[in-house]
Amino acid sequence: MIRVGCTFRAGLIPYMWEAGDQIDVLEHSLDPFVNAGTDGLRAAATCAEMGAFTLHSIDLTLGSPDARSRPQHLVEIRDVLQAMGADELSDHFAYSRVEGRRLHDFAPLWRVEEQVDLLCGNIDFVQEQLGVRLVLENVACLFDPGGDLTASELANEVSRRTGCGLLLDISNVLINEINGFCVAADEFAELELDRVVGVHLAGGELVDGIMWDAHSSPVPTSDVEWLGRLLPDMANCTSVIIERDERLQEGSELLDDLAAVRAVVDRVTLAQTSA
Amino acid sequence: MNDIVATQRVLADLVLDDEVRRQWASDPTAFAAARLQPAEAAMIAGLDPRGLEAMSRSHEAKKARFDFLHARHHAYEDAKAEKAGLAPTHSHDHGPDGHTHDHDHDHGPDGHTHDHDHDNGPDDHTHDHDHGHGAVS
Repeated sequence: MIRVGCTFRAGLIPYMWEAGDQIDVLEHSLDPFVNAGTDGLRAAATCAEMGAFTLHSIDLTLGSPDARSRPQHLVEIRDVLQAMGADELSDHFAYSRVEGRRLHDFAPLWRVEEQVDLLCGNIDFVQEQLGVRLVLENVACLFDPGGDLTASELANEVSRRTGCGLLLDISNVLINEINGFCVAADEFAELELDRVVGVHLAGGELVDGIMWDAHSSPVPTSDVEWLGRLLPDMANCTSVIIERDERLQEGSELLDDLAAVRAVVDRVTLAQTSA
Repeated sequence: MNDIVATQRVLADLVLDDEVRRQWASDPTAFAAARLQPAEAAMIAGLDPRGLEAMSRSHEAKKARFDFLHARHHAYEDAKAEKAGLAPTHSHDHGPDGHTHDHDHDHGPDGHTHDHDHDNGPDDHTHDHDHGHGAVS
């Protein structure tokens, strides 16, 4: 079953209420629950009780050695996972900490063998420490460090070696194409789609000639069309999440996005059932 | 053998420090060659200046939002402690060499005590206390 849903944000609650049964899964952010004492654990458990959910993190910094430098942080994450009964946690093909210094945006990976080794070692370590499976998401880049591998080749290799799942952000691939860093059709063709367990979609924003993954606008029609083409080959995909973090007062746009995505998911599911 | 740690260190310098980025922009090849082995230097020298500048701006914007929410969180915790009849004991020291940050919370009769000791400096990073609100993707 492929569930359709969105990120859980307080500002979206009125629209989520209006959406009713259009939303069958919510994506919760892990990080606000971590290191927040019993209040955080209680909030996490309450969110889990709201219904089906996915759990998303932005601070595991899996691409840098810092992923292993905060053992207490991992203990606190494990407490949250247990409070929620979560068995998967997603984060990114990126890093956001370097020798203790925090980057408040994701730094894209240099796609070379040594980076793959470092990333796989970190994923193995964190999966072992947390006792859950990690799911890794491709990021939208503001610059591209390049390397010997494409982003999809790197994702396939990491998933093969560590057993982690893939969270395919279709919009991020298309943003990277707009910014001149890849050919989206090639990236989609190379990706082993049966490793994809979830999909993200979001609307970006063009500023000074650079497309940003802003989560601020409706999901472009092209992104929904790509979902329709790719989804039939994602045998293990269980959720399609629309990310929305900005311009929440225009939450009615989210309702339109949910309807468009659900129509695609229903069509694909019906075709598979008929076959 | 590519040195990932070295390239990440230089990249972080470029994102976080305007002066370092200006030095790089004036002669990316010489800048990178002075700090890295040839393969790593080629990658750093070849970065897109516009994209690097964009990431630095994005970092600053998201950090400002994070700091604002972080301060609000602590104000809330202090108010809660005060309401419970306990003196809030919070101290922050954002020194130039790192971010040291001490907490001692006691949430009253139900027995929720909450102690933190942070030192986010590069040489001795003992504990972290972030509440999300950073990068999105």
